[in-house]
Amino acid sequence: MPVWHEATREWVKQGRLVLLGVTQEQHADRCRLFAQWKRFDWPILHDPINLLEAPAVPIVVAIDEHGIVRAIRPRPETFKAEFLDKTFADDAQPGAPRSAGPPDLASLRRKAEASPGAGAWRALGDALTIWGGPGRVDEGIDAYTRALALDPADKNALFRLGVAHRMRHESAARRPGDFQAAIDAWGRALKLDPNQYIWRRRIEQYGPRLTKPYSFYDWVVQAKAEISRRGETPIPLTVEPYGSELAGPVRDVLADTATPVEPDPKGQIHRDEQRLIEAEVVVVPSPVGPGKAARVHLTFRPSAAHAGHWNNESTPLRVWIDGAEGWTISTRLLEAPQSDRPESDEVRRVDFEVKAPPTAMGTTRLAAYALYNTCEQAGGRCLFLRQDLTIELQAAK
Amino acid sequence: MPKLALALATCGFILGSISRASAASYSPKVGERHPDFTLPAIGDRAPVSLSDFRGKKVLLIQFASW
Repeated sequence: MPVWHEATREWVKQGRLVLLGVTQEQHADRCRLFAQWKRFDWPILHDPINLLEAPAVPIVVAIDEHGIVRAIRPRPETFKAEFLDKTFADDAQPGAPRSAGPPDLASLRRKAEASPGAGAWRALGDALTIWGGPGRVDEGIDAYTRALALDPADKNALFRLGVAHRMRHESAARRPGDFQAAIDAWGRALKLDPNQYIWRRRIEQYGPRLTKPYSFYDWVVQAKAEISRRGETPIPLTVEPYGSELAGPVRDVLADTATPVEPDPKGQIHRDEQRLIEAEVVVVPSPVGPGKAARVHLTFRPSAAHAGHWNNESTPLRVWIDGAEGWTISTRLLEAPQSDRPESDEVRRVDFEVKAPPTAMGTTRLAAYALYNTCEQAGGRCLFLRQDLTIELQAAK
Repeated sequence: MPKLALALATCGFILGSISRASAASYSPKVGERHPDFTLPAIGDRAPVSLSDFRGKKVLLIQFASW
């Protein structure tokens, strides 16, 4: 898009052309940061659920003053002569009526409840997911679930259900299993339409490096640094990219050459019985094919119910992963960076990769444990605790 | 950054206000009106429709920052 931004900047300034962006992003603020970095000063709209059903990006369409499409994938070198300088007649058949603007959620719900079809429930899910805000994401998930109960092959509802689960996972209303539910829904959608580039990318974003085409968000660090050097404040990100979102592709899953020292081999560290820290395991993709790779995401979140938080005045969160016969584990000991503050309550994430043996089928369980310094409440008793984890790897052709 | 070439194959196309449940397929055709749609702006979440720009030439760019 920087090409079009540069090529059209003067025409936009002169009012001869409107650049209108639509971003196929789960996180609007990442696009805002990108736009700030590239100095995009034109309107950009957020389409996290791929409402427009773009099969791939980028898509560039030249639309004349009557709303008529005049070029698809126009070429910058001929754009001025073949589009901008031309006067077009209003010579197309009347199209669908103009959009009525943001939908009336109550009216859509009434329609869905009165309708026997999946489409009305999906439309309600779309409206809630785009316009309802985090407070209504539960309703969006429910609407998509109802649509899928009526039409299990509704691939768009499946993809969007995944988006809604991922949204909830990143909100205060998160429920255990939301991230895995997102991955599973995206995987099912992609099975129904394996050529959907955007859905494929969404899974690859969190998937193993073996299937990555490129690093998805490696530009974030550079963008923030350059924006800061310009004397501006970078747009803050609600969810910073981590692990697989930053990792570049590799040709194979390689295990660490040196086996690290297991930190608690005898299991002597007291267990986190109170669950001051809540842990979640997500495998992308699941199931994993025999001989194929998957990325395992481990999320650790201080419990709001117990006012748990990290104690940063000691060793950082570490995770040990036991091996499983035939499986390659990229790294056995992981460590999550911690805050500079003495105490904090942010989400911590680590991820690693596994490669299934060629004969893998069914369920394999990896034993793992996390060790962390946590406190019961701000200023309260601080403890060094262990939490045992089971990572279930499903293998299937 | 995306490095793959655009694959504009025949594909599903749904546009128009999201308040309508009807689904067509996304295959904008030269010489036809582009279906209208309304989506929130990335900054203030204000609703913006393609038809807000009627009377002006528009270059519509769908993209991602990955």
